[in-house]
Amino acid sequence: MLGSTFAFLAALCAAQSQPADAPAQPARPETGFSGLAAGARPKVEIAWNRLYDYDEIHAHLDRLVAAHPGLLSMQVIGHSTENRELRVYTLTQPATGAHDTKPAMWVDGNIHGNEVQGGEAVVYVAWYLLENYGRVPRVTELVDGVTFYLCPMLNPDGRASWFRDAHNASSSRSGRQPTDDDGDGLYDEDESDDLDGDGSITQMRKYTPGEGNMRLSADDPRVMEPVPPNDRGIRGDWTMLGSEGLDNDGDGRTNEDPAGGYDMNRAWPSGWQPDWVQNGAGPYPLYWPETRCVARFWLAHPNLAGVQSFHNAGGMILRGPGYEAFGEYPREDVAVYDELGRDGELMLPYYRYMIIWKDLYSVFGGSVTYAYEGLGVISFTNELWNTDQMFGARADQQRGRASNHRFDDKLLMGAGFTPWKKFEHPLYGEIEIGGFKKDVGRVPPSFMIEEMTHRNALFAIRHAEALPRVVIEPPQVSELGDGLRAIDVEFRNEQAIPTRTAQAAQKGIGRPDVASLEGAGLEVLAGGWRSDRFRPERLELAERDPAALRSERGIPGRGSVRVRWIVRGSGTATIRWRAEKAREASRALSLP
Amino acid sequence: MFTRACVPLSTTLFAGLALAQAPHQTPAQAPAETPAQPAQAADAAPALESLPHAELVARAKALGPAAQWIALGRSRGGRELFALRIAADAARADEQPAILVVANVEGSRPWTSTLALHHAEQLAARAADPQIAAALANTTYYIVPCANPDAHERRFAAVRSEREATGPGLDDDRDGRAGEDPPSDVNGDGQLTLLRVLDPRGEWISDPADERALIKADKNRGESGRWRVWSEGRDLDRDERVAEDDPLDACVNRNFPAEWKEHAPASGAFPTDEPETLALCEALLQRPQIALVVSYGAYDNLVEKPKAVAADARNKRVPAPGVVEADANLLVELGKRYVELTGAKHKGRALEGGEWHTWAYAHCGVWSLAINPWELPLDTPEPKREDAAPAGETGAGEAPTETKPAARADAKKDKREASDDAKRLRWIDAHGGESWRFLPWTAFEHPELGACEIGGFAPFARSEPPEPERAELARKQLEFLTSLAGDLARVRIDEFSARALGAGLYELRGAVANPARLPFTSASAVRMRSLRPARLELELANGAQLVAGERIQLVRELEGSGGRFEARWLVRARSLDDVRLELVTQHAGGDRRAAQERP
Repeated sequence: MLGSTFAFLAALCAAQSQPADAPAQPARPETGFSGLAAGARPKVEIAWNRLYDYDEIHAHLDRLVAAHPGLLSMQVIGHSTENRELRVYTLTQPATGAHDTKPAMWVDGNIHGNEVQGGEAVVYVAWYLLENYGRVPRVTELVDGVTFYLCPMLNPDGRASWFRDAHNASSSRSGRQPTDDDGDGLYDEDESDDLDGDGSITQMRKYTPGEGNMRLSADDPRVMEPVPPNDRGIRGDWTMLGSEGLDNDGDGRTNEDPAGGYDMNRAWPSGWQPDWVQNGAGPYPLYWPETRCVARFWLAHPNLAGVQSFHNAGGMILRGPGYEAFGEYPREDVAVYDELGRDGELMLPYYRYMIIWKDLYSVFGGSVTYAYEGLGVISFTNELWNTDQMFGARADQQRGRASNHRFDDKLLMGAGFTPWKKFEHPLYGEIEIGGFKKDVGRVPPSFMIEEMTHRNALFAIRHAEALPRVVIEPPQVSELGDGLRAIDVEFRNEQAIPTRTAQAAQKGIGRPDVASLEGAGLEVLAGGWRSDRFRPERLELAERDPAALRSERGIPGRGSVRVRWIVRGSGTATIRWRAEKAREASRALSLP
Repeated sequence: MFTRACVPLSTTLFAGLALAQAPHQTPAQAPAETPAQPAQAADAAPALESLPHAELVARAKALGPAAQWIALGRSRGGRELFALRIAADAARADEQPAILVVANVEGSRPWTSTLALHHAEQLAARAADPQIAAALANTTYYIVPCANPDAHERRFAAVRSEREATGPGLDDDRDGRAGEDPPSDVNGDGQLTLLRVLDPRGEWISDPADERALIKADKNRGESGRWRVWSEGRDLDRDERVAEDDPLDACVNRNFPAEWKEHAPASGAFPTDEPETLALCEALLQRPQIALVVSYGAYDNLVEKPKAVAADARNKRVPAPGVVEADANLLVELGKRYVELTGAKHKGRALEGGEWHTWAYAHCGVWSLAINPWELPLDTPEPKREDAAPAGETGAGEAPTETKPAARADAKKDKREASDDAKRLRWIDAHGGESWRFLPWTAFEHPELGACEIGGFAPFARSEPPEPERAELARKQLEFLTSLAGDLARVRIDEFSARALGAGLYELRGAVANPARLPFTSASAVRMRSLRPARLELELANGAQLVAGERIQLVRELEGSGGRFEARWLVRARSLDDVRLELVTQHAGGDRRAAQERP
């Protein structure tokens, strides 16, 4: 026991002082802890109870690249407004095929600057897959057969500001391009102000005896509650004055033009609407460099077959449509969404599978709706962390602001709250400043981060497992006489997602799939799609080019399509299925 | 109102009539004289021809400092995109209201680039002309002579064509290959026209009014189609379809965000994916002083009233496409002047979504006028001659020819109106030297289709004005363009007065007014919040204090024709000299006044 601890420590020191591929490092022993996410001793140690700044996120991923150079690689796809790198990490086993020959799962996080934990969840996807490649057979199979494109931070500037500057849980959602929110010709001139210097933007309240509309809760004087309308002369003694700040530009309003002021998840082409319909949309779709370079990356990768976007908060697994007027997605695709979404509800307790416009609110120009409506790719947004998770099964009796305090008091020793404290405000006079800090409410407490990242990463991985995989069943050859033969082939998709979604088929997105038969000694006289497995003459004949049949609809999820070719000749031939969003399947055939 | 409907358009007669027309006069304008312009233009360039992009660039650069060159980027094909900025006083050019003129966004209207260049040259050179001087006195003109040079150049290519697509192509025919069957000049005449082939699947028949024109067979009238019609080209992929998968699909003027049609090949991958589209968007967005856009091309919203919609779509977040009613009514008024000045009668192309001029209005909130300067007229009268059209068709039996006077009365009852193409052909027939505009259907042995015919309107035949009309057309368009300067909103402080209440206390009254015809912001801009409000700021010096009122006020709306905004303040000041009122706008000028004491 003691010895193994020593060995472990020695190995850890070695890992830190030497390159990952140094020969001195002993082979990692297989332990008895196969149920754990990374066994007993991961190759790359990452503390999953923390949030990491922009540089740290990249440093973790770079360590993973160094430790798994064959499997993980990095590219810079563009730069943010403040010139931070937008990085995409590609994860696959190149020995089984180049990344762009496999269906790809895109996972991003942090498109809203304050919704930080998506970044950690993306890193976790990479870490989990790499640690378990060659160790857990399903992971190995997945990394061999699928490509992951991982974009940990789509809004690095917003993240950096949220870490660096005073904020609350919801501010720094935007990017950092100066924007004139109030139309006065000045840009970002009235930001919130951290008047009490606690590093967070909290609340301002003023004691106004008998003239307010709020009172202190009898249960907890830190909690403000509205005084209900009454005829008994009961008035509030307190007035809430909004977020901590000053009227920096002297226009009579406070905090009305903070940094940025737009929403990069309202900027995508499908269903995009201008600012007055959809606040934050910007002057035209993909206006900000962060959004445009990701859209270009997607368009340049037709193998993109699944999209997962990590946000916070509320515990949701969201899918489109984003607005009511769109209608509903095609039935076949809804069935896929429902299957994955319901699995998600199991994997992610306290999360609900929801339709954006119906169950949340209308969103025009969201990124995941673009992935589906524009590119025909099954896509989800997860809203990470639900405050019901604070008390778990007892959440029913513990809701509202008082429960936030109870959690903070009992499990964080009160560290998440800045107590109300007097402050002399230039406009309001003597006021009090206090409230929950920026890391309370929308990100989980540190001890719950690991569970959140694991469950969400595994949901994305489950989605990746559902990407189409085509197999060709053994062909049946029938002699028709006079040297004519019929070759019947069943092409089967083993996974839940079709090779072409109904959306892609209906809108003509990308290229159709192709079923082909090629052989030097073979003449393909006719070919077509069988519509009846028992009656071979029911054949939807190709008008031309029968050796390469086009399929707009592809192969349904866990379904198959059947082809009959009528040929003359002999020799070896190859049957193939080519699709943009599935690996090419081929099968040799020998005709005597 | 003068119409040309019943007069054949001989060029001399046309010029005479045009001069007889009462020219539009703005109050400041001297009576119009016969323009000296034709003589000037004659030695510069022969008669306003369409020009290759390189020549447009050279001519624009030759204007020197009188027209500031503004680089806007490059086209997909690497050609320069540029604007010219013309202002009487370059130092004030960015402070006064501006008009942006954009030509040939669609790419198939190269002559409109010549028109825009003409305007630039005239504005830059003829500052002494009273109307031009009046316009330039308080207005900056930005002119983009050629917004789509790649398509523009097809006017001058070895094979001339009106193809508009310049961006990436898709697999249009869904055969798994993209761009494998482009249009091409199969008969080698240097022009892309149409190809027709007798085919029972065809949807087209010859127009009985003129067998050269094709019309859709009307099954309700018992007509069955005879001709299948394709763009001129091969069937390289042997799918019995001709030129159906062009390697280029995306069109600059379908790639703007307003009413963009997703998944239509011409729309492009996403709005502003085309570099020309993005460059135009940025050109406008970066210049908030631009209050009005004039677009020369295939579209029109002046001859024909645009589709008007209510300002607010109640209970619907997504508004109906169209021009807000209040704005449409103003366009109608501008349109009346346009028609009066130019005599234009032809409408424009139907909107398909993603057009530039729609975006400028609907998403940027600027006034947006679409002008289609010339099209083959539809009003040439039917020749009165009795010689019947030769029966060219065989086998179909439609198009009974009117040879016997007795049969005419019966035939008239069932007679359909001549198609627009047949009317266009009348104009061509009536004008000597214009026969180049229609290429007679000529038998051709097609490598894949076999026997077919190639012919139809020559590229640019429908939109390039005849040489004798061009100078006059350009002069009238310029007259309309310069008249617009007088319509732009100009705000000023109409009143800033003070009443002494004693002990250094003053009651101040301020009023902002817009005497111009156009409102400070369009109804679209109000809805869009896309134009900055006017900022009215009380400036207090030497310890003067605000006692009541808002020191800074933002004014979002101000009607035209005398629209007013009023405000009051109480201040304490030692002297009224310490109190000033400043009015700042981005697109309607500004003002600054000291208070006048009133009793």
